[in-house]
Amino acid sequence: MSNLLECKNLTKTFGSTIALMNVNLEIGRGRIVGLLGPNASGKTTFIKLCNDLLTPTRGEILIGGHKPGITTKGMVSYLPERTYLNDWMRVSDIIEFFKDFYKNFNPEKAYDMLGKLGINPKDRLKTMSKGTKEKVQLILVMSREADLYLLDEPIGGVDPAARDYILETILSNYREDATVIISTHLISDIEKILDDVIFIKEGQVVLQKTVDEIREESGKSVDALFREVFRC
Amino acid sequence: MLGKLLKYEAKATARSFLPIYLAILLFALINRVINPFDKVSDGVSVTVEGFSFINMMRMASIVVYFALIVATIAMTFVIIIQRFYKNLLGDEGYLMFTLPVKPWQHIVSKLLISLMWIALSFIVIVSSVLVLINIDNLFGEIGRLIREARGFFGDTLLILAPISALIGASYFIMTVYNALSIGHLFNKHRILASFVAYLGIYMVGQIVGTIFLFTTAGFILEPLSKAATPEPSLIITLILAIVSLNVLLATANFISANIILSKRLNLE
Repeated sequence: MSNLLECKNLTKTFGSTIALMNVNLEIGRGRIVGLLGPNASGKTTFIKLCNDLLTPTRGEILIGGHKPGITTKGMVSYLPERTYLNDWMRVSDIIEFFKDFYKNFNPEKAYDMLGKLGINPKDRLKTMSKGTKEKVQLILVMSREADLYLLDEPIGGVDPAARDYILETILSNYREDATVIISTHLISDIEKILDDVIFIKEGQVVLQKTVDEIREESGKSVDALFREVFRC
Repeated sequence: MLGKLLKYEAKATARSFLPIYLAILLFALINRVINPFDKVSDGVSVTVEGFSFINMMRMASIVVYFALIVATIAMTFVIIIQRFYKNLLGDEGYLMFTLPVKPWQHIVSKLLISLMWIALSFIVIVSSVLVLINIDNLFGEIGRLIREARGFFGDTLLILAPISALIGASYFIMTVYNALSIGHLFNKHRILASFVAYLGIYMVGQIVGTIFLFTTAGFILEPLSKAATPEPSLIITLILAIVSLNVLLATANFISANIILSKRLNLE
């Protein structure tokens, strides 16, 4: 089993709306993958399916050979595109919570990153700005020593200066045999850290290549190619 | 993992319940010390001479005490609904459902903690009344009450009563959970859909209950209506019948909610 994530004919419909259609993907270990597409192209649906937050209409997903469930939830560290934290908790309470439920959570790493960003672990989330909450959430997600990180729009809500820090955090915190999938439409910001890209359009994968292949074959940057493929 | 879920569920809800429990007991004690009921029943406070600051305080402390009791009961209901709706079906669901935990464990942990708060709310309210009314030799009197009840109903009924109350509460809670789960399947007007679902499930429950009572009428309802003073054994049979019916209906709601949360999750 060399592939970390495999999809076979993955399809998800909501009533008559098709969110994903016959997606076939194989993603190996040790890669940073950009899942790129315009709004409503199926990125979030794909990530939710990987997290067992949705059940496929047809086809299947295997993560490390397992269907999404308890085993994969222990392996996957997921950053949703919304804040999911209790307002009344302190950051240190949430760190306890993660430590209790996830075997691969490393609290020292979390406290270390909080310190670097100047966030007080005794602060309640209620008192934090939206951007700070997003940073706390990213710290929690990246402090897990997971096999697969699924980051849905991790840089959407923060300022450009914090974006660089976040990308650096992602780069310096994943294990070598782990894979990071980043979904975004802010391509130019993350292009430099990507190994592979997947273009997704109207629920279908239109391209899966390494960044090097794109540069060699088309002589274009990922951003430029994206604008070409998704021209309105 | 269930143990950890129970721990966090208890922690998340305790911060709402414990302060109000403390306030109720405190006001029961205040009312006992300043003993406002005497004055009110004397009619002193309603006369012009009796209208003083201290009497106003006495009235206020009675009002606050009863308001706190109403608030506790209302809060118990609201938190049962809110913990399921917000923590599982709202944004927090993104965290809860990506924990390495089975959906049924979420349902069970929330059910058990809700039952715990219902029981504690009951105990606190009853205790506050006991604090308030100032009975001589309180524990002796409680002992006497229990002995008399045992003599009259027998041990079985005395044990059965709290169990059947908890089972009844579980049926209610599971109906609420199932209704919220059904409501969350809709993409719009989820609260309205949950409410309609609750009425629907409630009606189905009533129909099943009626059919159940008619089919068992031969050995429960008929002898019960014929007897001038029903025997304890007959009452026990009736309660056991209602308990098994509630277990059945609660289980049906549990299975439905569990299927929805496992296979049809539809977080916003």
